[in-house]
Amino acid sequence: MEKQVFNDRYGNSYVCYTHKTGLKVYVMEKPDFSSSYALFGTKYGSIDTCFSTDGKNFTAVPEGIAHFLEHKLFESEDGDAFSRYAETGASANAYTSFDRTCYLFSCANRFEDNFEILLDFVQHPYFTAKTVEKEQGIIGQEIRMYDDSPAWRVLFNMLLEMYYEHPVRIDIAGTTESIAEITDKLLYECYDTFYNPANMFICVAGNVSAEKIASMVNEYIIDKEPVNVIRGTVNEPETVRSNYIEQKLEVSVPMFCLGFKDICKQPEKTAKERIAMGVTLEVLAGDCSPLYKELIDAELINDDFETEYFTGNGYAAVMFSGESEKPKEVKSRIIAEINRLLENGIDSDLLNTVKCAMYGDVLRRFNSCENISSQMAECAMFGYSLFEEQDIIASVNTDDVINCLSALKEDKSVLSVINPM
Amino acid sequence: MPLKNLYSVNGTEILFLPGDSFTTTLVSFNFYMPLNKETISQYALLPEIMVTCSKDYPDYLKLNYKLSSLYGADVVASSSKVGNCICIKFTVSSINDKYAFDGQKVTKESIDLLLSLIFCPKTENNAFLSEDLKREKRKLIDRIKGEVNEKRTFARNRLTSEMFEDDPFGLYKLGDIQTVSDLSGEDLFEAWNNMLSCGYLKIHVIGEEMPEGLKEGIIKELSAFNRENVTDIYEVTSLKERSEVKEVTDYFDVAQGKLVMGFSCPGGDDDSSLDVMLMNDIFGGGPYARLFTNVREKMSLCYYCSSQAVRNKGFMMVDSGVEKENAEKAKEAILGQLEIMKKGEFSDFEFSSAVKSIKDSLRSYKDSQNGLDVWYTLKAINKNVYSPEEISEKIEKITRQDVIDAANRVKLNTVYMLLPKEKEGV
Repeated sequence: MEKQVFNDRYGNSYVCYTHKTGLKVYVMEKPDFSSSYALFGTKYGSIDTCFSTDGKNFTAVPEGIAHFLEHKLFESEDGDAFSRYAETGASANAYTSFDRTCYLFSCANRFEDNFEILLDFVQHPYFTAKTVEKEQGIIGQEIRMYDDSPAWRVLFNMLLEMYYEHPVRIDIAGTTESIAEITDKLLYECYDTFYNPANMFICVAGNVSAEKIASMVNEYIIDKEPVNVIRGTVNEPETVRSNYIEQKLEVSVPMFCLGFKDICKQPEKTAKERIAMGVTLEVLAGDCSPLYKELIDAELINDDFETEYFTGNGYAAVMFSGESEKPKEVKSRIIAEINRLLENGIDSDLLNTVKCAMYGDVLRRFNSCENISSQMAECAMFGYSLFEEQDIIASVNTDDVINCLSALKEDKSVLSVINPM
Repeated sequence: MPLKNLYSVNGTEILFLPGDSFTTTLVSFNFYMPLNKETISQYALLPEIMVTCSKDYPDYLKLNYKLSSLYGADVVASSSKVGNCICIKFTVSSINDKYAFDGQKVTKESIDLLLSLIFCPKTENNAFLSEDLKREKRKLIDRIKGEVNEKRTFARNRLTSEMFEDDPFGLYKLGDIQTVSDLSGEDLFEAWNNMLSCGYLKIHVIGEEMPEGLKEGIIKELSAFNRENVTDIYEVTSLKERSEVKEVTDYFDVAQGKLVMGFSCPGGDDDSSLDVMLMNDIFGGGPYARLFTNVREKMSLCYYCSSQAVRNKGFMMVDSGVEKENAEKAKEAILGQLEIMKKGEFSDFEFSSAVKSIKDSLRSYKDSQNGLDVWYTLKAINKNVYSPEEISEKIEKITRQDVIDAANRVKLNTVYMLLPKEKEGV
């Protein structure tokens, strides 16, 4: 295992290496802090519903199984991980997103004991038919809770209309019907495939010793034959299913999510592509942009307006979301502004100002162990280094912005609206 | 982290919290005014307008541009209820100068910008301008309307207003749509003047060093105001006990219901309210707590179920998501867990887990500028202001019997349910 040490010009430094099992390890020591934050993640999320380890036989599993597995992994034969953390006082949690599942804790005392708990429970699954059945009830309630969340529905309705095949169109937790098909055997199958160290990463930041972490990783990580995960590919058309979708819920002001489908040819977008689009969205619709002022002054948006570049394995979409009495008008003004910028070019003063603010945001991240660890997880997922981001931001030029803008096409857009009852 | 009180005169305090682990410096101005129905809408609107324009930056786009060029300096304003006060907060967070290119004095420029937003608002003839008023009113009214969108927060706010029906703490912190609509530019100017004259002011500076000249600058700006009648922030009334439990149910077109229960308990800043804090944590604080392990995990009655104690106002709130058919059962189960607390039938493991968890999170405070800022904002109304470390020491001295005694002083006050409509009346 070859260790790499990365330094930035402000004295921040982190260690990165690949353990003999293929596990990636990232550690940033922050001796000035009292607390620490550790995350043990796998490249396994809600979109991984079809996979193979030999490239020939593909297994299809029910939607929502990655999230289900996350819930179940906290249990073991003699109690759950939460009660072990209760002995130490750490604050522990986990989450499943489209492309990853992460188990984490933060603590200000007894880091090593907590780290041992984390390494142990994530590597020791315990699933039985009985415990699976019980969890189906609990997760069913969680799914129903999201049915009432307009912010959640407006996003998933948009994805549902944007994608024909790609599993990103399905709720992370699945549906009551899909989770009913989950069995203990299927959980073990997913676990054995995706919870192989070669598909996993550990990211730690805080008042810790990188050396101690390395020795604990050596001691506790179970040696397994590396698994080569091959994800099923889908034939996702470049077009969208429809340009508009609407639902009525108990809201007072209509909510909208406008998405533009972007082609994602490689398995994933590169760091440069993702950052360039982030800069582009600030130039186009950030709070220094002429469009933002136009939309506020025309009373079309309020403080809830946001932009996001949503991308992962095989999917990419640009999203504008917020509250508006006239979502269709918001859409047409955004499209008009994209066309204006493509025609007139980019204001380089604005571009530089946006980049300056983004550079500041990157620096702010080093204030928080949680943010550092989460960013290191990004690095592990997408294979770049933590301090590269500042240089990539600096490198984005007007051509890059034009390039990004030209990917936003009206016929590949979906406007999702939640209207009041 | 030693807190330094650099200045304390006539209801103005400047507190400096040194911390060199941060890449940024945070400065917040916290004005405490009496909480009442007449002014709550004004103090919701005033900070919004003050951080979108000023004499120097009359146009919000220019202001945003300036903030971005200061490496994304973050200016935030808010109003929140703290005890019997409304706290109007203005914060700036800027990167430290050593990270800037070309030796730019980012920290000073950012703080000067905040000072100009607070002390030199964009006004004419003692009134805010109608164009700015119109824009910010619309945004605020959208936020007030939007409160109903997320049912969990909505249900908690509904319980608070029902429980404190005779206390201004029951008011919604953003005020009401009608009052906001009726506010004039003159009204807001008067509110601004009152805030600067009568607001008890606590300024927090958290970062590597106290910016040079800041203290003098603040004193000079404040000298333009008559600060002889500053708000008394120390008088706090706790939730009153009720002879009969109040029950309120609303029906909405939703899939899942919400059950929120409010309890009166010992409040204030004496040590007995810390007993409540620990009792609350064992009862419903973390994943080791009785509500989570029993009501959620063993009985599967709620998807989430937790409790929090608000010591300043002497109440505790249990917050849960329930299916309609389980609502009554969940309520009984939650009260059943409280009975267990009262009888002292909680385990040593639960007791020690809560102590460890509270101590761990108190120790983490010093790693977060925002966390420290909020800590001292909430503690401002206490006569004795303790640091997280001092509270941690006090927590360690609490006994099982103290917790049992605290549980026995907790009384159910109000129950609020938000239930799916189709079963209305059943």
